[in-house]
Amino acid sequence: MIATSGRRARIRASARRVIGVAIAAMLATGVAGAVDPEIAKLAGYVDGSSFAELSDPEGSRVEISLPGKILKPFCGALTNHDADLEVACGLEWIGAVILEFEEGTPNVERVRAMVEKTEKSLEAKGWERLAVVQEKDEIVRVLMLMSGEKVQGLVVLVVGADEIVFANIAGDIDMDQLGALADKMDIPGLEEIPD
Amino acid sequence: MRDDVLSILPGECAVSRETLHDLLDGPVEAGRRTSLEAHLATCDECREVDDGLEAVRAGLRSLPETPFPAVALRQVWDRTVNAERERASAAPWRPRFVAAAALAASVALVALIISWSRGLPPAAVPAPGRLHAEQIEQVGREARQVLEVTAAALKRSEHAAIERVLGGEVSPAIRKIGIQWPETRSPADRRSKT
Repeated sequence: MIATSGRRARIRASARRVIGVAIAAMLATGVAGAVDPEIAKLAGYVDGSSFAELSDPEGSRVEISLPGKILKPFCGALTNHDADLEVACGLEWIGAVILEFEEGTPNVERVRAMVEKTEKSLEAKGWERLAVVQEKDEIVRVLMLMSGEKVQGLVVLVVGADEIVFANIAGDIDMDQLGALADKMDIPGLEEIPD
Repeated sequence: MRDDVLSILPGECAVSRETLHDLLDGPVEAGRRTSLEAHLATCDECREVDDGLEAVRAGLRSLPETPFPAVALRQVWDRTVNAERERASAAPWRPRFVAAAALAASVALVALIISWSRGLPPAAVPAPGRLHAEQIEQVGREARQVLEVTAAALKRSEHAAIERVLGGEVSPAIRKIGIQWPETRSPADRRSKT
């Protein structure tokens, strides 16, 4: 009995050490919204996790995080699956937060403030605002980071009547391939060029 | 000793005795066997030696198979297998094993939590060097979704830029990406074709 309780004590002590190590590892890496430190170092990477906080329990939230270590090694398989994904092969990061709301986008003022804050923060880091497109029920903002002639980062912020989208791609961005992808898409409203 | 005996025998007898001894260890070359048989047919002394050796061989073959003594077996067992077990049991291997297993489980749990927190379901985290077809499809679907959002936004930006060009205003950033007018068709082109 004594031997058994002694063994239990050792096991409990071991378990405490293990839990301590696990918690330390979790804290060191940062569980919530953590990204690979290598990704975070990318010039074109932008952390969009704050937009996820705007999600509504009644709506839907999609978070996409695709690092280059998934995209690049499996480029062949991805392009076999979908030829338009050739553009993804040069990317180090594809990330997005897509929120949809059943009852319309809540706290529109707060969202606008957050978007403007993000935009200013990026501009301070050398990003350029490519466009602000105001349409009937949504505002689309596009920001771009260039290094020489190369585009290293793109951020898209969409604030719609019932959705918020934050999208960020980073790496060697081939604008021609993105343009080709856009040409294949049926984008509502663009077919009507005003005379 | 054997060499001493062989050295005093006549030449053919010495060769034959050598062959007889070698036959105790196993087969010999056919030529030596033939020479031995020819010599035994003419040499009584060597034939007697051969008969004696054959009796020894027969006697060895007729010996009963005796099992390894149980006491000797126990001694060998104690010095090898049991000694190793005693050394192992002397060390606190059980807590170490439990700790190692728990550590491995914790590492797996941390990896699971981190991968989940990054928005990737665990199934989408590829094992080194492999990604299943369903995972490829999922990664492709997600990548396409973001790329389409981005491409559509760029297209809208381009559309807006065209309108601004018409209005005499061009954003400096737009100039940098160099809009391909022939591909995107300017409003003027569209007007001329309609």
